[in-house]
This record gives sequence, C-alpha cells and structure tokens, in this order.
Amino acid sequence: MHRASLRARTNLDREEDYQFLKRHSLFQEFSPPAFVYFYKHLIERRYKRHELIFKEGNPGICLFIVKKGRVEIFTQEEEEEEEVTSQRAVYTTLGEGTLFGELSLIAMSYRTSSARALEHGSQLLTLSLYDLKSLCDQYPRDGIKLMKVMAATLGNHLVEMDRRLGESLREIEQLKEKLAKHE
Amino acid sequence: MNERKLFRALLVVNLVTFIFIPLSLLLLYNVRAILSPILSALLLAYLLYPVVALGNRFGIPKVLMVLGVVTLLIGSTVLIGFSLKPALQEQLRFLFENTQTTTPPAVSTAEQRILDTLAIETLPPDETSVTIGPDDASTTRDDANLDEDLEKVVARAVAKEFDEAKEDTEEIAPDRMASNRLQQIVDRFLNTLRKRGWLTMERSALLAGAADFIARESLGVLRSFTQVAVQWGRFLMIFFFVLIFALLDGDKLQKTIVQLIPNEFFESSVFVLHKTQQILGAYLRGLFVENLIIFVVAFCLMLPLRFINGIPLLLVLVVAAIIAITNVIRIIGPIIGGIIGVILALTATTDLTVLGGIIVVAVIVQLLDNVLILPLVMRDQVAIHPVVCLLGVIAGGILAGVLGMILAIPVIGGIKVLYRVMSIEMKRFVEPGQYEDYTRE
Repeated sequence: MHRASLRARTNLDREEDYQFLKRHSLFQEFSPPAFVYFYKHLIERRYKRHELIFKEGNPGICLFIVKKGRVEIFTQEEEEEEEVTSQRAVYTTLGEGTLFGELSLIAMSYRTSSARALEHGSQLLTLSLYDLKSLCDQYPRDGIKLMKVMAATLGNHLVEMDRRLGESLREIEQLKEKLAKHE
Repeated sequence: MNERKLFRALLVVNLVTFIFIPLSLLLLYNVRAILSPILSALLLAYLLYPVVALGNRFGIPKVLMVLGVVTLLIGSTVLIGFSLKPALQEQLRFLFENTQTTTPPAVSTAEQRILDTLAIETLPPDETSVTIGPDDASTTRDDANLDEDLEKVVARAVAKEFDEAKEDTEEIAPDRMASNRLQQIVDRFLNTLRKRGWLTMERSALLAGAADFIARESLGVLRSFTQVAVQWGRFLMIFFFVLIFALLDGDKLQKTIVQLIPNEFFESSVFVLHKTQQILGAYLRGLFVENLIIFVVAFCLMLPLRFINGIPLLLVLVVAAIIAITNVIRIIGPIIGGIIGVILALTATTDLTVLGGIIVVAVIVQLLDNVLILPLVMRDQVAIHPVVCLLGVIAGGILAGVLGMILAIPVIGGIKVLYRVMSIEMKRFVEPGQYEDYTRE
C-alpha cells in the first residue's frame, strides 16, 4: 500500500502544477498525503487579459493561487448607466505564487473587492471552501498549517493596509498644514 | 446596446423554449432504454460513494473498495435471487393454476387466426353424428376412415412439434412453466378442432395449419424468454459498467465538469454543485434509510398473516416492498401501496382477513412513518408536492418503465434542490465584515 502511494507520488512528480506547489514556500510543511490531497482538489483556471476572476458583491467560495501571470485586486462602484465609467481604485497587484481570495473563504461572505487578470493566459489554481473543510477534517494538522498560511496572508494584507493608511493620513496632514499656511 | 442585449436574451429564451427543450425531450424519449440503467447506476454510485471514500480515508485503495462493494452487491443479489426462487416458482404456479381453474379457456387470437385461415366450418356440437354430405352414407363411412387416419397423422405431427418445442423451452425454463403453457395451448387447439369439425378439412391444410400454429406459439414463448434475457443482460451490463466507473472516477468526473464551466460562472457553479450534492445526498440517503425501515416494519407486521392464513412468503415480501417504495410519494403513496398490495394479494387468496390485514399494516406503517421514522431519519428538507410526485412518477413510467417510476422521485428531488440552492442558499452569504464560522453548512 505504501509502495502504491509512493508510486502515485512519483507519477505526480512529473506534473507541472505539482512541481509548482512543491516549490512553494507556503506548502513546504505539509505532510506528503495531505499535500497530495490538497493538490488533487485544486482546479486550474485560465484567464484572458482583463478577464474578471471574481466580482465585488458576489458570493466568495474559492481560494486562488497565482500560478502564472499577474492579478489586480480593485474596487469599482456599481455602474448605473453603461456610458458613465465609474472610478476604479486598485488595492494591489499580485504576482506568481501569491494566495488571494481567502477573506471570503474564511468568513463565507460576499467578495469585498474584485479581481482581474492582467496578462493573457494567466493561470490560477483554486481550492473551494468545501475541499478546504474536508482537508481540515481528514488532515487536521495540515489543515491548521493551511489556516495559518491564510491567517499570515490576511495579516500581511492588514499590515500593508495599515502602512498605506498611515501614509495616506500623513499625506492628508501635510496637505492640511500646507493649506493652513497658504491661507 | 441595451436593445442588442435584450434581443440576444430573447433569442436565447426562444431557442431554448422551442428548440432545445423539445429536442432534449425527444432525445430522452429515444434513449429511454439506456436511461434507466445509467440513472439507477449513478444513483446507487452516489449513495455508495461515501463508503468508498471512507475506505480510501483509512488507506484502502479505491479499486479494492469498489471491487468489494460491487462483489457484495452482486453476491447479495444472487443470494436473494436464489433464496426467493422456490417461493417465486411456487407463487407463479399457484397464480397459473388459479387462473386456469377460475377462468374458462378462451380461444386466443392466434388460434382464431389459424381457424379463420383454414376456414373451418362449425358443425353441430354432437361429435358422434359426423356427416359431410346430407344423404350419401358411403361418403360418410369413407370419410370416417380418412378422418381416423388424419387424426393419427395430426396427433403425431402435433406430438413431434410439441416435443421439440418442449425440449427448447425446458432449457430456458427448468420449472416447466413454459412447457405447461405449451401443453395447454396444444390441448385447447385439438379440442377446438374436434368441436369445430376438422373432418371437413383438407389433410395438407390441416397439417400445415397445425404445424404453423405450434411453431408460432412455441416461438412466441421462446421469443419472450429470449427478449427478457436480452433486456436484463443489457440492463445489468450498462448498470455495472456505469456503477464501477462512477465509483472509481466520480471525483475526477466532477472535477472535469467543473473545469468546463466558464470563468464568469465558476465560483457560483462550484457553490451550487456542492450545495445541491450536499442536500440531495442527505435527502437520498434519508429516503433510502426511511424506506428500508418501512420495508422491515411492514414485513414484520405482515408475518403473522403468513403464519395464520398461510399466504406465501414471497407475497409478504413483495407487498412490504411495494408499501415501502410507494411511500416516497407523500400522502397518496401509502394509499396506492395499499391498493396495489391488496390487488397482488387477490392473486393468491380471496381471504378477507388477509386483505384487511394488508390495509391495516399499510395504515400502521404510515402512522409510524409520520410520527416516528420521518422526523428521526430525515428532516424532509425536500418536500415534494404529491401532485408533482404523481405526475413525475407517471412521466418516469412512460420514459423508463417501472425503474423510471422509482427514479422519478430522486430526479424531481434533484431539480427542487437545485432550485432551492439557486433561489435561497445563494442569498445566505454574510455581508463583508460580519464574521461567520467557515464550518457552517
């Protein structure tokens, strides 16, 4: 049985996605069977340039890992009339190996922002909430590791947001000072 | 731009309504022969998949699990078949003898056809006063000798044909049911000939007619057995083929289907698919367990009828199964089950206590189901309206026979679950910022 699973893993070694994930620092600590389970439940998606990955306000059910290309996370006000182009604010641009979409997955909420591919032929790997749940049920230790990864990613986003908010606040203060001097 | 969108939407709606739906229905109707084994195999695979997944979780290879499950399934089917065989034979014989004694043998259409073809003239019922010509006595005597010869020849021909047909049918039906039937046909044919004045016929025409008649009837018996064997063989082959592959590659199949979904609908489709599977799975498993319990309860309650009134065990089993199967149709199902049960019981006995007993059992089982089994086993999330149920069962019957009738309820359940997920579950996500436990189902 052990030999069979070893053979199955050797076969997997030849697959491109498997190699990509194996090199990924986030999944280094996974036990081999949990890693295989995780890998087998991932679904690959391909996107054209500027194709929407998910839309703000839609139900969020999947976690995404950028395998190839770049992804833009942005927010955009609802377009009431098609002729009027609304303001689009870009939160961040993500490169290969980045994990995103985890917030809706944890909270099972609607998407707080939209995401779109920036390059033609962008490839993403996705894991659904339900597969994540069954991974946690079957391999609790590895499930905790994955949750840690997601928590760390969320923490990084929070730190980044804090930094940008601080910068914005400082800019506002500077502008206020300039305005006061000018008056 | 908006007009173009509206036009496109209208075009799609019209195409779907007038072309896609009728074509799909036509296709479904044409492939209904393979529809029932595929649907039942997928349904069973769906019910059994958790067992395979559980084994896989404990490190048992999937192939071994599937092999074990299928072997168990085939083994239990064969075991039930063999254990029921004597009871089935006994019941069939009883039914056969019962109909034979209670209803007078009528001239079948095949017999009538032969008689018409041979243009047999009806003679007076008195067989001893056989006369052809009204006044010629010598002709009568000669004809009487000829008739004796002819009778022997016909008897020999019939016996030969009969023996051949009997040998053939015995290979297929060792319980001699078919040969008994053939014996009856031949006897009835000869009686009819004797009564109707076969003496006036041409010898060759009579022999040809007799041979043709026997050949037709024996071929009919053989054909019906062969047809049944071919139908069941085809059904079982497709059934086990689909079952094995659905159990082995069910997850891969699902992944492939998900991969085919366009990016725009990907996340919502994953959600709908999973949620539908979850609710439908719980519903089907609940339905299965509920009806299994009902079958056991009905069987146990009807056992005293067997010991007191001596009704066959097979009848008890069949009536219990019918009460359990019809129970999936809420409210009116048990009434239908009770009526079918009583009609079936009438083939074996006319004892009023047995018939009353079956009705009482159906009522008790229904009460137990509503009060105890249903609330305990399943939460009945998928309440299907009885009228929809009944119409679905009839449509299933038209599409795929008895099996279609049984499969109708799970299929309707699936459609209803899909609608529910699309209309209610999709709106149950929380607003951003409101934390919700990810384990929530």
